[in-house]
Amino acid sequence: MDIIFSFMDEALFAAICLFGFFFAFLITGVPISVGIAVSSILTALFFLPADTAYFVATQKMFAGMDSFTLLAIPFFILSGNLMNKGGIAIRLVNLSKLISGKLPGSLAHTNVIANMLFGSISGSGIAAAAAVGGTMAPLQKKEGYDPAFSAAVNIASAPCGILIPPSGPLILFSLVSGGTSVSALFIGGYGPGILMGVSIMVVAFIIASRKNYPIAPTPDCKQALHIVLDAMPSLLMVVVVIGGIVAGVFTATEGAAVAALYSFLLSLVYRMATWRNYLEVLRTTAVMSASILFLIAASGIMSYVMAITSIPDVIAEYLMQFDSPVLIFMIMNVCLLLVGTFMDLTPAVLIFTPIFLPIAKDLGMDPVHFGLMMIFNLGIGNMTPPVGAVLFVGCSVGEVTIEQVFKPLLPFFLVLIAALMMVTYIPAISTGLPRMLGLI
Amino acid sequence: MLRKIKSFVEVALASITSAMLVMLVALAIWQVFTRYVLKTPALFTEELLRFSMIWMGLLGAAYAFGIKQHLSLGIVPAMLKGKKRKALVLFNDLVVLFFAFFILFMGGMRAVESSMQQFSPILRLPMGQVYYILPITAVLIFLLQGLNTILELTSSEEPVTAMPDDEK
Repeated sequence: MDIIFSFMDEALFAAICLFGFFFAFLITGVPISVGIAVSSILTALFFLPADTAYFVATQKMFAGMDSFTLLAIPFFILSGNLMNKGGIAIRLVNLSKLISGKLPGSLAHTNVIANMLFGSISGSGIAAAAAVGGTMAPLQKKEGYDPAFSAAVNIASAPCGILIPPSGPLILFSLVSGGTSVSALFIGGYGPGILMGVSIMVVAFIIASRKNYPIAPTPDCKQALHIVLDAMPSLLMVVVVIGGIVAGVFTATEGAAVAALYSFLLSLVYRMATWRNYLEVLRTTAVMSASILFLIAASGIMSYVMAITSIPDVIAEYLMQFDSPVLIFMIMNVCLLLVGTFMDLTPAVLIFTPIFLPIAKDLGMDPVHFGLMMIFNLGIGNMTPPVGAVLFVGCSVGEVTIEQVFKPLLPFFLVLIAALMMVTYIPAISTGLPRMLGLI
Repeated sequence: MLRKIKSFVEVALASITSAMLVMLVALAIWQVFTRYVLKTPALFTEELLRFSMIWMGLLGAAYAFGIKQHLSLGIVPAMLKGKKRKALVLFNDLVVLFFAFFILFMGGMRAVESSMQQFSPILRLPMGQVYYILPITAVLIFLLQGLNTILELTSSEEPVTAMPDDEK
């Protein structure tokens, strides 16, 4: 070891070791959680005696999961899965149709707005892409929309759901960032989330005008009223859950449990699911939650190893050489965009928050602002190949292949990058609302 | 035979974790209910919720190893064929077993043994008992992942590799 450290800094060696092992395991196809844990432990073995290393690793895993706030994640996943089955999507789609009314290519806008509304009651982009996209795709096909275009709109706008509260990823960020206020993140999420939706609508507007996509007929007053009333129970959940959390009536975890109960009751009222469906919802929720909890547990080991070897300091020192916040934020964004192409959002948040957040704070960025920038960025990664959960789901419900959807997705991708730049360099988009409400 | 054991364990784990999930929601709602309606907040729920979530998470994680639902990058294994692919799958499985043995089992047993005299603040449970889930999970992962490995290596047809992570 001394030979290595004689020409290499200890922290640099640890960094190379940790990320080297991690990427090696990633490429061979080891589950990411196991890859995180094993690369961390292998790195730790250079610095700690073996039995201590295993023991500490176990404790860090347990400690990583031992959090009351974390419980909000399985609850929000459950509530999202229930909504997927519960006949909520079709009501929100109808309401969105009403809002998007006379815009050219109105069904594309309907899809975007419905994704935003769905996102405002569920915490997951994937659930939105599946539920809303699945409802919209046949409608759009009937009106002569290019299926690849429809799918692209759906895919590009689905990540709105992870920014617009409630949001699982924002809770995750709140945890790994050492307790950034969930209320502030939730309220802050509206700005970037709506910006994301609106920028997609702008592009959809231009493309739809060019292709002469039809304007859907608007319903009369009586029908309109019916549609609004029909969607009310679903939207009331926003008031109950987000209102409750922000006003301090209950914690994020309790709010999430209320959301799960609410969507269960709603699905009973709408009679859209059988008991067999409910059992399947429980099983998939348990598996999805467990794989996320397991990732969080594993990353507990990684952040411990990073801390004892001071890897973040080395990276910070290196980045700080650029001496320009504008440039440093740009580097972070490019880095996260690249990571987002092959890594899912959860592990990326877990790995990169402890590295980048201290730097961002040093440069005067509010943690709420940083968190939203990061989630926005990784949300874009959700729709890029080779690994993009929203892309896969969007393609499968839209019945198009990834190759077909790639070209129509490009303009949306570009406008989202532009929007990401706005989110990065205009803090008010993220922190304006929470500051106004006195949450930060 | 092996498949039967595997599916029995998996069905059991799926049922247990699903039931725990329902219990977690009910407990959290109960916590709100006692605070606002009964005006005497239940204190035990918070700790019980945290511990149960950890148990559910780890049991669910073991189950997810069995049905290959952990996030992973499936591109390289999907590009390979025949023996090379089997070798790679074997390597990946061994990494998982290494993890389960050293971190969850060895580390977990030490955590259990060293904390039987530590009690949780509210429920007064010995922490060692709470930590038992770590070695239990290790054994389950060994069983399910081990069976997967055997089934993959002995099957003549192309093995089913991990799902690409379109599920989250």
